[in-house]
Amino acid sequence: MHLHNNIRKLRFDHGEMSQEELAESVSVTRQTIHAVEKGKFVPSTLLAFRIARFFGKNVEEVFYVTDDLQENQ
Amino acid sequence: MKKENSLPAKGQQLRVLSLITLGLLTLSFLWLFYDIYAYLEIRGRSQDVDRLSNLLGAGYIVRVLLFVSSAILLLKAFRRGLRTDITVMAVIASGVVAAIATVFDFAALSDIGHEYLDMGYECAMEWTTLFLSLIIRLFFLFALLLAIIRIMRSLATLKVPAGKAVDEVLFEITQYIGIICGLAGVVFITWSFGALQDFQIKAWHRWLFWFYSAAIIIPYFTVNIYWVVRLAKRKILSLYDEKQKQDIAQSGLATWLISIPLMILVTVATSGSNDSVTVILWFPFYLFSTVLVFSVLLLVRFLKS
Repeated sequence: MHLHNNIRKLRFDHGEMSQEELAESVSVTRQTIHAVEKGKFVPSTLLAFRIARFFGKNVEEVFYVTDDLQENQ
Repeated sequence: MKKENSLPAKGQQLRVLSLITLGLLTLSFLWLFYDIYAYLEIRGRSQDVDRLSNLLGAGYIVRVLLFVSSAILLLKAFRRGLRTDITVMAVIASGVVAAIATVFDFAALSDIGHEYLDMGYECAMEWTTLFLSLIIRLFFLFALLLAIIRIMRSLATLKVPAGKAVDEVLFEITQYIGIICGLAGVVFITWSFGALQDFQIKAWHRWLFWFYSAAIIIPYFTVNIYWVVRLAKRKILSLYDEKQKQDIAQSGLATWLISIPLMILVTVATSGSNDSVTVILWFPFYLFSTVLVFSVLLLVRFLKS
């Protein structure tokens, strides 16, 4: 299973917000936001909630899971 | 659309120049302690003056490179809007005095070579010049370190307000300094191991050796302490964010795993050698090699993300 996200889209929907601005708003480094966005780092539940809350969304609207079979199709 | 994860070309140049200057600064700091040792040895009319002089001479090259690099760095930073404050003024003033003192050092050492060692004069003035120059240089290096950190922080596209995000720039700088200190330490220990094999180790040699090992690792600990103090002032409870913590944990585990075969190799390689030397050297070697491996792994993880 893989965790994916819509952070990039949501950032641009929020006035082309930069990774730095988002990082500052949820109190992590830009590197962390970049890694989460690229799927290289799975955030903690708390950070996932902080990001979702920042965009005014539910966690499921920001993060979603696909299994390997689904990805191959 | 905003450009991500990259600085403009001039910003990148400044960043690279900052890192080069930081590397030269760390080397100069380590060389400063060698200079103290060499001056004391020469003052004690050591038999090994030629060898000591060669390394002293090599230190001048590093020093000149640092002066040139820091001057270019400041000029470029001014063009990019660096404002003159007390740190920048301290760097410029102490840098100019240290550069002039370098010329006087050269002249003083030359006089000492002829008049102190060959003819037996006291050369009190020359010795005073040399030791005063060391203090000025130390002050310059600390002021320059603060200025470099300020310049690198200014390269971040967004100013981080107090009490918010964890500092990325210091995190990166810490790893660069860890690599330089760790590498310098490993080279120093390896060299010492070869040089001390046929040596009758006395108590004061141990102290001197510990002093040098401590001097090599000081920049790494200093930047870590500086980081903790800065965060404490900003009332941030956590030193790292969650990805940094994961990177540190994974790099720490990898370092521990690498350290086991490494120390087995060291044990095998040193069996049958001068035991008193091995007893002194193994712990600093372990410390420096783990700092080096840990910093490299952590920096790679940081730059990859």
